Amino acid sequence: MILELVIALLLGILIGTITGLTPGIHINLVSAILLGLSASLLALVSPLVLVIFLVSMAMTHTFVDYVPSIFLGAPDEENFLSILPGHEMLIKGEAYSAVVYTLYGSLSGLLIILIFSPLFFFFLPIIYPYAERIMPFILILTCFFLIYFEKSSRLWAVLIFTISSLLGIATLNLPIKEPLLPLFTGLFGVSSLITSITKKQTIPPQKIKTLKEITLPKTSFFKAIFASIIASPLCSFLPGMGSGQAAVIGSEVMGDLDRKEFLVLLGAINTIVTGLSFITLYTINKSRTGVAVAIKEIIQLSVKDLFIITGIIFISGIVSFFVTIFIAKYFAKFVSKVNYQILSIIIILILFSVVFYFSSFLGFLAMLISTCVGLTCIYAGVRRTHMMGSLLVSTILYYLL
Amino acid sequence: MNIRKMKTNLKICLVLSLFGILLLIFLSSHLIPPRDSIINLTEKELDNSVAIYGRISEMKKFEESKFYILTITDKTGSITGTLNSKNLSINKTQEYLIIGKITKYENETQIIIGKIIENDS
Repeated sequence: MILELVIALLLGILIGTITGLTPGIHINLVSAILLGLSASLLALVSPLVLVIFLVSMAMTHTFVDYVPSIFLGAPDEENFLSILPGHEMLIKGEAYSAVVYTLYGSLSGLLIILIFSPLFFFFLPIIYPYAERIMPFILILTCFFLIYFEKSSRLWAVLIFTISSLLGIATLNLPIKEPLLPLFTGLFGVSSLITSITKKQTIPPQKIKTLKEITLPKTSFFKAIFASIIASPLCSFLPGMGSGQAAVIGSEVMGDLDRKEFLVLLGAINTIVTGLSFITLYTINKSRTGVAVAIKEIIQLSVKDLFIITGIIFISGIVSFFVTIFIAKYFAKFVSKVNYQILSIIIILILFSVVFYFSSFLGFLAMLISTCVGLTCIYAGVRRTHMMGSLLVSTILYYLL
Repeated sequence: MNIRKMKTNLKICLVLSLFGILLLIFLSSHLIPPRDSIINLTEKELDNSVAIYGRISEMKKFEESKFYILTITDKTGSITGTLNSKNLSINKTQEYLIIGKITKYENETQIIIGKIIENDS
């Protein structure tokens, strides 16, 4: 039995690494496939083995998925905001450090999960109805702060926020699969890559520093972690919420976060939201991620299972930290040796193919229009987080209507 | 990139964005997914948008969460549908066009309802 559990853990880390590195291949897809095969698999192994596989895969994905996002500008639905500071660090030769900052956040996220798990266990059933009621007002306030703190042009900020909101509402109402994929690929991914091509950006050799050299002042670190503690727990149990909304809430609550602080915040949020979603599943029986849905179908969680899941979150997180460092070093050596314009074109073509495959022609159209909105934001010179209106307004409407 | 070129690019992208969004809004309100019978709504359709004609034979409201669970029936079978809505007025003898996404909940194929339209045809 123990051997089976260890194999499940290692397989989960392997598949999580593959999904994290491959744009468009999401853990939800693997969960759905596993769910389809679960009847046959459960004849061979216990439900707990499948659960361990799913948990370790999901946690590994939250660590590894920053590598393609920062080095290649190819985002997924949870980490798309990392493209912005990540790309700026890439053209300064600091992409490896950017990945490490997200890893510092993810590691801290593991500790925060451990601290919050007992709190969730005892208090979530009590606070859940109240949190659900106040959430739209927190989001409205976040939107207000998002625009109010724009330093460049508030008029452009309002315009970008408004058109992104309309784009989000329209895209989420289209009869397409995975509507967030074309939306965020266009807004944050393809638009950045096109800008790199038109600016004829070259990528300098990337500095590979030791972990001791990649540091952050204590105040900066705790600022980012505090922001993640405020925003992530809410977003891990409320419907319609996710890492993107949590990142915007967290960064607006703490005011100006610099690039490094923002990367730590993103790493922490992504890991916390995923990790706590399993605890949420047990305490209020609600599944907020594709993986949690699959677990709910496979097993009726007990307290003992929950302890095992928490252990798996921790172990797979630690292993993923080292796996990601290894992969990021490889990418850092590789990325400056290739022609970045050609690489960008290849990545755009891959993203086009992935969107076309998963979301059909309509999704492809939505991605092209999202790209135009993304480029408008870049040329207008305002913060690209205003494009989060595409998700925030839809979520507010979901709660209010 | 010089400032004039950037301003031109900004204008072009803004105009394309606005036209594109109008197009998407039009498509999202007018496009109806392929119509199907309930018997065909299996796991293969998971995450796909579908449209079905049927009657709503049962309706259960969850007051606190503004949430309905409906049983939709057509000639080929029945399926459970979930709907987030504050108020829903349904005539059980009326046939409706129901548009939504197929999902799976506790091993049962269900539909997350996006729109319910009265079928006048």
